[in-house]
Amino acid sequence: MPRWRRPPDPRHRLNTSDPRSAPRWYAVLGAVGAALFVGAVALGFLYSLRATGRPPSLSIDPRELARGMVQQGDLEQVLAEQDAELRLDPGPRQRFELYIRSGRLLSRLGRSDEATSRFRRAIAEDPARVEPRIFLVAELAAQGHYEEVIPEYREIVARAPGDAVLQANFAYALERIGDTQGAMDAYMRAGAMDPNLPQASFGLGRLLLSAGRPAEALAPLERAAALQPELAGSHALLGRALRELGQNDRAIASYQRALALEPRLNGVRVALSHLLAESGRPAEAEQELRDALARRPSDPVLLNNLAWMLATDPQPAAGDAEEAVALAERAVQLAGDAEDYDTLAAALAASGRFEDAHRAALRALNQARERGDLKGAEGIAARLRGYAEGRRHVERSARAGGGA
Amino acid sequence: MQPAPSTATHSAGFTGRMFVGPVFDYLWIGAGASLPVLALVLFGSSLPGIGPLANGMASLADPALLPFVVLLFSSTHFAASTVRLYTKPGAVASLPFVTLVLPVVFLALLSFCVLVSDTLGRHLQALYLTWSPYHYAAQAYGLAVMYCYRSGCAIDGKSKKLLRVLALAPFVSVFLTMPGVGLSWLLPERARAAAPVQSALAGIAPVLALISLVGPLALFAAYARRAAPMPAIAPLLLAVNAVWWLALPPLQAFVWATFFHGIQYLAIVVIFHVREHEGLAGGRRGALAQAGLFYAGCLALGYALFNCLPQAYVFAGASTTESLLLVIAAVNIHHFVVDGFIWKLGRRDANRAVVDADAALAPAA
Repeated sequence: MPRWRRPPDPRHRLNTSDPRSAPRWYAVLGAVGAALFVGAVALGFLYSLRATGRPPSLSIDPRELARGMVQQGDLEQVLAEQDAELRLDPGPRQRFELYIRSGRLLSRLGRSDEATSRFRRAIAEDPARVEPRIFLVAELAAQGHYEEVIPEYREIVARAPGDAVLQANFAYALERIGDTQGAMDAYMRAGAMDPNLPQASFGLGRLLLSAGRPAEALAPLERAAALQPELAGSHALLGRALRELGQNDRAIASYQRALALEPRLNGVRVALSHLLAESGRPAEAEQELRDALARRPSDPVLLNNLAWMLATDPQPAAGDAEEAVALAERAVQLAGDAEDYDTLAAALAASGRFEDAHRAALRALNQARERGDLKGAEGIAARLRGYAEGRRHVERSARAGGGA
Repeated sequence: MQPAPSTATHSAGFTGRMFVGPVFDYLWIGAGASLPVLALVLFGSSLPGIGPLANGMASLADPALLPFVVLLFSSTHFAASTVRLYTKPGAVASLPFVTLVLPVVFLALLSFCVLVSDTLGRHLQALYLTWSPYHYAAQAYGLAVMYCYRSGCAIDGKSKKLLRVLALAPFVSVFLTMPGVGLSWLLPERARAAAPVQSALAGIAPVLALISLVGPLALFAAYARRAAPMPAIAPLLLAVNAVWWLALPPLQAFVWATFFHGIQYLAIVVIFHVREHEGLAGGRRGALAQAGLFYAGCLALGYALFNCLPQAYVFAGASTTESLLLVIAAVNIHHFVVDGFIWKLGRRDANRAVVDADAALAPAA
């Protein structure tokens, strides 16, 4: 394309009209407007410097600004900003997103009722979307309103029929309202949709185990433990199933794996201790209990179990009986159940204080009867007769006080 | 922009007579660059080999980059109309109301809307969102007619009316169908939800889309056999605007249309500013320096308008969101109004001098 240069054009000045034709107050208003504008801009700049230590942000997206406020932990302010945006009546899509975002914030602020209201508005805005329903059920579940959760979940799984995670969550909600069969069916559906979904196997196994069907629970629990080897709960539950099936060695291994992953599972430690004692490994059993007690020295179940083990050991070491009494007395102080008095009685008998043991055993017997534990009462009564005859109680295993 | 009277006589073929050159004019003023960019953003990530390029383009809308993109192109473009208003030779004298009174009116209106944002705020917002697609359509039409005029294509009054209808078709479609703006703002929900209205809207939208895209090409074809054909940039301007508004989802449409419209606007406004001031400056400053100075002014004013001014309302007790959104709305509307005055191509206007000078003096491209 040829290059050219245009000479100055005199017609530039054709447009000028007589400036004196404009009213004088126009100029006054112009000066006022300019002063106001410059003043407002300077004020805004200085205010931002004072409030944030920085010049005004380059971002003009309210969501970006809200993110900054969230990072500073100013959730109330973020909520106020989102409400302001809603007042400006944005389009349906933004309104939908604002209801969800403000609902999540309200949830974080612990304002559950307002949060559920926002999620319901988002659902009304776009009933086809599942996200607000998922947030709604999470909020309702956190409040323990599982009866309300179920119809919402039915909608969710109907709208996302292939989503295994949602199906598993639905199963959990059914489990929480006591619909065990419905929950098992939903877990099985979730497992069929995604065989590698650990929640499905874990939930199904847990339910079967709770229903007293450890043989059926074993396969899903083994699968859950294989899919989630890092989750202590899977190994603990598998250990329980194996224990109930009499596979003690495998159960011990599962419990130990669970405790290696999560040493604070004291219930599992008590169960492991019990299994070890049953399997003829009392020293290891005692050590498990001592380890657990070192972590939670005021746990009455641990105190009771160690006291029982020491008090009923067929070949007690020197000082075991006194330690057992001390432990049992603390358990009685902390809980005072029939089992604690029963253990105290055994410890007192082991230390040769049969009259005190008799009194403690009587108290245990009364408590057991009061709560209708006839089997327990029978055992206590048998031991009581022994104390009356000056015989201590001897056992090979720790009391089954906990469990996975 | 207002159409120019078709009086020029030089024909410049199908390419047309450009302001800078065919590549620059077609890519940036004609916004042809937006077509491959939008194609990359919308479909590129799934195509083998160009995924990274597509992701790079899409990252323009990422939260980390967007504020800079908005400031450099969008805020600056809105500020450009005001900078042009006060730097256009003789504008203060010829447009005393627009230059001296209108800013005070807008400041007062904005402040009042922030004060009663519960009731007025949403209407200011809806007005700006409704007006935006009209403004972009009118700019596409104005530029198309200007290129016809510069290129010696003598479009008659009937064709100009048709061109205007075609340019405004995307706006009409957005007005009728986009949620939150136009009809959905002005018409009560009950009336909108009525079955006849719904079916009419569902039927008219594809027709308008077809008209918007095919109409300009048909007009171009109709003028193709004439001695002075319509330059291809004219239908391109209209079709591109239609693609922005009709092919993209509503939110993306506003983001990308504003971005490319901003570049388009900045390109043409800088050209006009430089050409007007070349003569007045008497060679004291080169074209690049003039352009740089003008852009720097726009950048500073853009930052002042969109980033500093809202903070003054926050200081006064308004929420950041309301301050920000209402300032954006007011500045947009001010930009739309000011554009209606500063781009007139009347016989006594400085714009006319720029267009006429090129049309009369330049050889065919």
